[in-house]
Amino acid sequence: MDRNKTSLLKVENLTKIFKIGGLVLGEKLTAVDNVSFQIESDKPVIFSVIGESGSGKTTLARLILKLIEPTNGKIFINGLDISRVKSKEDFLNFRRLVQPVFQDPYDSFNPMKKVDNYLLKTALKILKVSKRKAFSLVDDALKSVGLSFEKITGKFMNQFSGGELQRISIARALIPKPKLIVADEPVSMVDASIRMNIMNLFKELNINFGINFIYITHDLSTAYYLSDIMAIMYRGNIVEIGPSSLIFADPLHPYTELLLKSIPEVGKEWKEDIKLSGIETEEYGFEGCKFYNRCPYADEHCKKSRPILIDKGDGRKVACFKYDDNLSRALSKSLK
Amino acid sequence: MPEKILKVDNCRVYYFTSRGINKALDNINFEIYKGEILGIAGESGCGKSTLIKSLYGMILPPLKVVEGKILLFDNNDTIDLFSLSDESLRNLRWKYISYMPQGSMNVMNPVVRIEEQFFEVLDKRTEGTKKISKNQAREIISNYLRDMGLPSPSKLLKSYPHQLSGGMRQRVILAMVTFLNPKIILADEPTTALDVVVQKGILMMMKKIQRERKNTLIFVSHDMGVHYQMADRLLIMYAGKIVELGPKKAIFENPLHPYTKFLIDSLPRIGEKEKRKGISGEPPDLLSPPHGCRFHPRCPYKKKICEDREPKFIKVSDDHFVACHLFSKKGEMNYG
Repeated sequence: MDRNKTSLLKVENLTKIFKIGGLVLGEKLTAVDNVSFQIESDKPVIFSVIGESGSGKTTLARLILKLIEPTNGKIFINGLDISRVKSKEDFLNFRRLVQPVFQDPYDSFNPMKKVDNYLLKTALKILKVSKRKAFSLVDDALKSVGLSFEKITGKFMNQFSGGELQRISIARALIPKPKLIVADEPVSMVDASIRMNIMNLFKELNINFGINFIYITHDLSTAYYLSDIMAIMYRGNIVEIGPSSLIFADPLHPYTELLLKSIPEVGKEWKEDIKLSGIETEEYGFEGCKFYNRCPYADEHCKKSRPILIDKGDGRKVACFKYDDNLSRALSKSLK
Repeated sequence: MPEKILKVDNCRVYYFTSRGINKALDNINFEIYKGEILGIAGESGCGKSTLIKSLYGMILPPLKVVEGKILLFDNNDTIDLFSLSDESLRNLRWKYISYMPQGSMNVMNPVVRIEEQFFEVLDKRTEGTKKISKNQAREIISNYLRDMGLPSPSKLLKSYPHQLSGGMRQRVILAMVTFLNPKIILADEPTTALDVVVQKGILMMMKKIQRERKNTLIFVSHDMGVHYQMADRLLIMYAGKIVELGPKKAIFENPLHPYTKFLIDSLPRIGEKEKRKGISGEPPDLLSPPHGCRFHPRCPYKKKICEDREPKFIKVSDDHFVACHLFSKKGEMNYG
């Protein structure tokens, strides 16, 4: 490991299995399936996790935020093993380190309570500061999202527009001056004219305040605009990870390729037809590569064994037998 | 001159709520041509869904028609949509004009098998067609689904809606709304909640059907990228008003209204990382829209007249219309 680089996030063999349905007849769904990766950087980064519904991206976010516990595996944030966060004190420290921003800003606030009180309470509770200090911290946080305490004082949730409310929930996340903000689809419910403002706000906070972001999204174009590093997830696995510019310029994994071809871009009209999957839920249970039934390059081998992430040497890793020189075949066999 | 199939004539359609009158559609005038794909773009609350509902004759309280007409032209007949009885409207639906809403569950009954729901649509065929047996009906429907490229139709017909993925449900709905080959198809954000790959599959399927059968497709989306892939002409709405209407090429290459310009410029594009600006302010509350041009509080080119007088919807070139004071009748612009 490079000595100048710090490891912001390290995930080791992370697995989360959910039970669906009844106690006896219930099925199991592996939402995050033995995922390992590491984000290192000498400067604050914006890391995007891209995936479609059912890819496990939101589960990964919730695991990192410690809103749910993993079935297996470990997560380190800034060197801290978050499975060791147990006591109330630990949790307060953890919340000072990592903060969430959710998809629906209306879910983040209590409609019966005034927004300014809620923000002040957050500051008092997490930071254990005086009222006066709390007030100035909240005001600072609001100012960095283009609002101020004055503008929100005495108002309830329903007196703000969706865009304003999402800015306020970002301000709430900023109060403890966290090292990392995990934002799960933060702009998917916000209109186009407001979306760019929030994207630009993330960039500014990243550059000016050194805050790291994990941006969870299904939207490739905003991920491209925003992020330095990205991971593509498919059915619980990371299929490709690396610098965004490299991935967009030359996608390695056939699934990444398919995703990029499916973006409705202005200036590039779609020509070729695409194949849609008919059996989405069954794919989680595939023994081999979960993408094999949709992959134009798949062979028998892909059906039988699961590819693991291999280093491409240019900062990228990809989990596909197309790029493997027998090494990962042997490895994936020995892992079974 | 292309043949027109529909004319919206000076329509005012308002919501009469307890908080006041929401002028969702205010003074709307335009024509729709036979066999075209007309894209309707705008942000949430701009009136685009109300427009689609009005075109379907679905005027339910608190929505009311205050003024104006919607005329349908069928061969030599002219039908005034708002004057029709409930029964005549019912006779028109599915056969002449059909509607595909955003959430597939809005048209599907969750506790009825797909097959039964198709039988109902089949029953709506023009009177005089021979009664057929269930098995014959099943065969007709299966063949149709197969033609549409849906996998294993017989299994599909036996399923309940909840057993299908969101993408598959939306494909089934598309099959239903096109089944009786209606002249006009209305689609309100038909792919918004879907993943990009599935979205592309469905959009390409829609376009293929439309190109083969030459129906008129009226398509609402907030996503300009989607419009680029689909539309022949584009209608841009802002705060209950049409701000611009023109051929797709003209709208994307030479947008006239500052709001349209912004919608196109703010799209993040793959391969371009330079900063894109958002637009200041928020969309207005339609209970009390701004005086004059409704966009003026956010417009970077605002002049005195914009605050005082509402701009007229004028023809700038052949088929390109705009409502903005920057444009005089002759189509000379003056962004100064």
